[in-house]
Amino acid sequence: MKQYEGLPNTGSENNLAELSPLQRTERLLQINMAVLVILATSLLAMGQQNIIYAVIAIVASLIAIVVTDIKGYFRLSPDATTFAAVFACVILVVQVIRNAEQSQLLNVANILIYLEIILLFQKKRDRTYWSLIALSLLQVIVAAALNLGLMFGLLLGVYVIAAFSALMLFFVLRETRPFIQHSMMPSGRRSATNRLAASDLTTQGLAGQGSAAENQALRMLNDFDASSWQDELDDDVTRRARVDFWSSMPETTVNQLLNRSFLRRLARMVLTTGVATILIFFALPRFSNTAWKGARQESVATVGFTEEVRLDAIGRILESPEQVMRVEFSDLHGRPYSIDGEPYFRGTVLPEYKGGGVWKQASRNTSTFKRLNTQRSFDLASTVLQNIILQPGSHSVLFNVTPCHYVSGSDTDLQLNIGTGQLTLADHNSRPQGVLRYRLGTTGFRNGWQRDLIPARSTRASRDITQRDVKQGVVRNQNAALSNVADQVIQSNGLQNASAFDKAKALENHFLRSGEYKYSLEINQSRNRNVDPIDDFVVNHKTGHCEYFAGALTLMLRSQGIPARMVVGYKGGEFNAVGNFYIVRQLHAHAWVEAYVPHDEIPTDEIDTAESLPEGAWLRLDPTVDTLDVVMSESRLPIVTTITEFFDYCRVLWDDYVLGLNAARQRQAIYRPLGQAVMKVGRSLFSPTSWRARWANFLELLETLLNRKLFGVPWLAIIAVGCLAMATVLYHRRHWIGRQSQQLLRNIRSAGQRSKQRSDRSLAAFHQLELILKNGFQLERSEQQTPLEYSAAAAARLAEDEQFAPLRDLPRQVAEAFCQVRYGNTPINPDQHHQLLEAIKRLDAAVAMRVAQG
Amino acid sequence: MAQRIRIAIPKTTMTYIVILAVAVVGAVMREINLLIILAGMMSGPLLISRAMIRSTLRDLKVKRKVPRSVFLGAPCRIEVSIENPRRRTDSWALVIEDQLQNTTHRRREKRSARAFLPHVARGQTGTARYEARLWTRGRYHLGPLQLTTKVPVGLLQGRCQFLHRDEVVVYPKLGELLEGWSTFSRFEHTGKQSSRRRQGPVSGDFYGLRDWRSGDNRRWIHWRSSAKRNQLVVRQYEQQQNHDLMLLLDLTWPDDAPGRSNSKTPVDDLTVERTISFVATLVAQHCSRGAGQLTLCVDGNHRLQVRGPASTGVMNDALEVLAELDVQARTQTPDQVDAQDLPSTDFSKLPPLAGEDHVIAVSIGRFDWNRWIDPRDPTSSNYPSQAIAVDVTDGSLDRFFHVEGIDLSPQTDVATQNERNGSSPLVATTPSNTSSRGVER
Repeated sequence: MKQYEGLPNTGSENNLAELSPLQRTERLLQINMAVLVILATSLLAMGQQNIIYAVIAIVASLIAIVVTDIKGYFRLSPDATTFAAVFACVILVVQVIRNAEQSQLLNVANILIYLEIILLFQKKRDRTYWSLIALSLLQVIVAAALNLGLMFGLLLGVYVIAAFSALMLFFVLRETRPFIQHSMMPSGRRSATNRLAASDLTTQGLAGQGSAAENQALRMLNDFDASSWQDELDDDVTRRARVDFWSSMPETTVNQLLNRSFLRRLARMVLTTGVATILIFFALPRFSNTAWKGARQESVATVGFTEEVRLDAIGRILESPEQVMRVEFSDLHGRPYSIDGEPYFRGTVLPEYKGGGVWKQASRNTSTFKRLNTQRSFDLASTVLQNIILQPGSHSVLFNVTPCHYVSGSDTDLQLNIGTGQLTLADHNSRPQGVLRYRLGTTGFRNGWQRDLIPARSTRASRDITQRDVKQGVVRNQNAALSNVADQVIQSNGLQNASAFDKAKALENHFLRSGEYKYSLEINQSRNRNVDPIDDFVVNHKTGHCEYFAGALTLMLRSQGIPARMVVGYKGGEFNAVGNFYIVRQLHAHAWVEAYVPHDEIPTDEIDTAESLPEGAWLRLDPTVDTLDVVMSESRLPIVTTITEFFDYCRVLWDDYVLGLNAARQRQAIYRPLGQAVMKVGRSLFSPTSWRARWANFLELLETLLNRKLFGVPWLAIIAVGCLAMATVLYHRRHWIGRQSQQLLRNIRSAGQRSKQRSDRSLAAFHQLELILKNGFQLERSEQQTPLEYSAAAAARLAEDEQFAPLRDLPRQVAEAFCQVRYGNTPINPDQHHQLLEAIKRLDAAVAMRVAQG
Repeated sequence: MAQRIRIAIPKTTMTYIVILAVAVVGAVMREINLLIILAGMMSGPLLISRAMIRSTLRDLKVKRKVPRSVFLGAPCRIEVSIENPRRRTDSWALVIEDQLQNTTHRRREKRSARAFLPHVARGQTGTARYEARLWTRGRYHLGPLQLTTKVPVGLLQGRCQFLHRDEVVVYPKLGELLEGWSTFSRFEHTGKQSSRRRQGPVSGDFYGLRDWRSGDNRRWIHWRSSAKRNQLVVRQYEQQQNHDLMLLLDLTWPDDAPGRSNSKTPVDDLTVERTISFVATLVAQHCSRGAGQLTLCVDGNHRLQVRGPASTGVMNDALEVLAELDVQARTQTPDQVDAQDLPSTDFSKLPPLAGEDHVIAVSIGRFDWNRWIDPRDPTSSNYPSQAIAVDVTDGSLDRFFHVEGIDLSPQTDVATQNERNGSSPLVATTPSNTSSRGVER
């Protein structure tokens, strides 16, 4: 079946302004289609990580617009198109054979690109436009499976706007073209198309639009060639609908659909689609906990708590703002307890170094757990309460300021690992479900400062430490370079025979004070993979994040025979001075070191009088350089840093809430809060307890108002008098208020009818004229008289009288305005209406004077 | 009255739906979140299309302005006004699809028409016009009218039907009486013309004014009205007793094989159309003179009589009767022959014939006076002797009548289609239940 091939193009109208409205619409559509192809191919190229396809699409689209669409120099015939499509399929087969290991998705992507480029060089028909839209959609689908980056999401938004715009332009073209074509079809051809159509009258109708429209129509009629009309005979619209009569429509009608409202509709569509997409995306249930990770994409590394450490991430590590917990410190009386410095919230203890930068927890079989509520009593005088609200997460460890102990009022069943001091739920295999609230006491603070020494729990624990956490010989063998550096530090400080405490402090200072080490979240890809990452860090590049620093210090301590372990948790947080709480986010995740110091090696000034540390203590050491991202910030402008941080934030959101939305996260972040909110509202509305509480609050408020006084008068009385006064005023002004409300409603309703009122005023002006002429000149309009005839008669009558001769044109003006409004359905403008009214007033005054003169 | 809005998926949208299904299936099967987003984005246009279509078609009021009658082949302009009484939303891209069906002709052909209204603002009325040239006589019913829209992107199509109907009557095409007709009619009237002096038109009752036509007597011009209108108008008078015209048209023929479908008309469709056009031309010519009485008696699928002073009103009535007239076979079974051949009691009685009145009897085959007059009535006995009989089967019509533009090609198309369905359109299929009505003036 042949289709209509679009409007004929003489090639002379290259400028959009020179084109007829229909041709302009088609040209816009062609440009829009080219943009669509470029965007879809770019998305695909991003997925394939092969920018050459995007470049090819841009070049091909531009050439196609100029050469095929505008100039018409080169157009692929249907046979050539078929041959090209077959050739593309052959290329696909060759690619499949040659690149057997390549993903089949990529092969599909390539064939889509080839087919699109072939279609671009065809003469554009309805089917071509549809095919281009469909192919671009398929490209985006394939690209979505290949690419998971944030840029894909941003480009997808642009693509959606371009696609909607293309669809709307295509709609305008398809809907208006049959009617406009029929208007411009030569009469002989039209009668062949449809014996029953009107030809001569249609042409007259077009000519009636004015000289410009007439010239345009004639020009376009001359532009048509016989073959295009032959194609239109087979137009599927005509064939399928079997339409016998088509109405005539001027081409300018297209402008009614392509004006500012077009953009409004486009914006409305984009917004509605955005909302619908968000709802569908978050409401559609997921069934597994593993979201698609992409065909080629590597996951983005972010700062955050993990239960094991792997120093293998390369590239930029992002800081996630996801909230982890809220912590509130108070004393036993409930008063806020202020902390100096950033508190350390202890999480997982990682004593096992597996080599290759991997740190793991100790085996649970060797751990000893103890219920928290069975612990021995603590020094209540130095106890600080910590109220923690932990957000849902995929880890089992509970964070706290250590050492911690049970306090009354905590209903959460917790247990403590005696060896590591790690806190978990009583069933240590379970993970916290939903938001977890727990309350603990801690003696880790003295005068607002967090203590560095953490008491060791038992002798058995100390013995375990010597076996598990030292491994001096192993470290010296496996990390010889690191051990040499540690030796040099100890020797340079003359601490060969010093206590473990001094050695540990010296090694910590080596990182903090030497100035050789730099903190960075951007891990250089050129690192030597054959060397242990920690050795590499200490000896070679000396740049890394907290896990590098903590790992290095741990191994260096062990190389000196000091038991040490890496601890992962959170440091600091965003302190809210109003609420006296800390908001701890993933970006506050931190790693530090705990070194075991026997009782006899602890300096006496470090030992608190209240606690003698008989089993020794774990000394917290934080070797991480305090300067954040020194390397990057040195080389960047502030605005660049801000933009980078903004995009980092967007990437994190994209990664967490778009790509990472799996069943568990959906349940935790959407379904459960939603369900809880509904339940809460339900309980609040229907629970007798809540209503009793409200009533009690109300009574309490009343009582408060009764007790509080202003100049000796209870507040309740003042409020009651005020309410009474207001009610009295409202009652007395009720009619005025009612009138004002009705007026407001009328104004709102009549806003859309103002043009109609203007029309009515014009009609009224004519009737007023009739009345004046009837009273003044006994000139009454007969039923057969048209307004113009009547005005002519009135003009003749006025011309006879010298007094009214200057007003003889008035009846004609009023009659013309009347006809314009009554029959043309076009309101007159306010100025014209004002002039008419003035003239009628003059006539009325003259008539009144004449009557008075007798 | 508008029926409820129906929303359908056009065929062209199926590609889009298939791609959307691919995205949804891929998203669900592999849990690809980006595909879920894409599926949501593809669903957006469908959702908003549905909402916009409902908003565009809701509460619309449609009014059709149709001429009461139109001559065959002349342009018939039909105006469709669409009122949007809503206060908040406009209507966009409305396609008006109207149906025209001939309800009287044996070929009840159905035609469709389309018009487009790009925008009807809130509280406003938009008007679309289309024009049709109808090539088959008869009464056409317009409707039901259907409003469709695919706003805003053409993915869905909303449809709303308005059931109210209008009608337009397509009169037979008027032709040209050739010189041969004057000769023929004079020859037929030799020795029968009245010696009574014909009175002028001013002697009757004043009926109205009409535009001056070439050939009108200058004395008929109403000068005062002409001056007022700035164009010549002439007076029309009724109750002209002289020079009345009586037209008898018989489009029946004896059926040789009653009850069988292979009975053939003695003339083809074109001849029938030309015959009716000839009679219509005589009616129009006589009424345009504005003098005398006109009586038209027809027999075919209807048996009717129109009588009255030659005026526009009578002409319209007569042309309306001719518009709906068609050939009809007469059953010749012994028990029916008497009832059929006797003058029908449905006819009003033929008026008494004055000496100067013209009687023209047109028929397929020989005019059978026994079917039209009662031999026992002495007042009608002079009809056969005073009448000019025209038998269209002998080809004499070509000598004194010419008409252009009666093109039966579309009808042939319909006929072919019907024959394929098993029934020939050239055969009258409603032989007995001829409903008769008389129009008295």
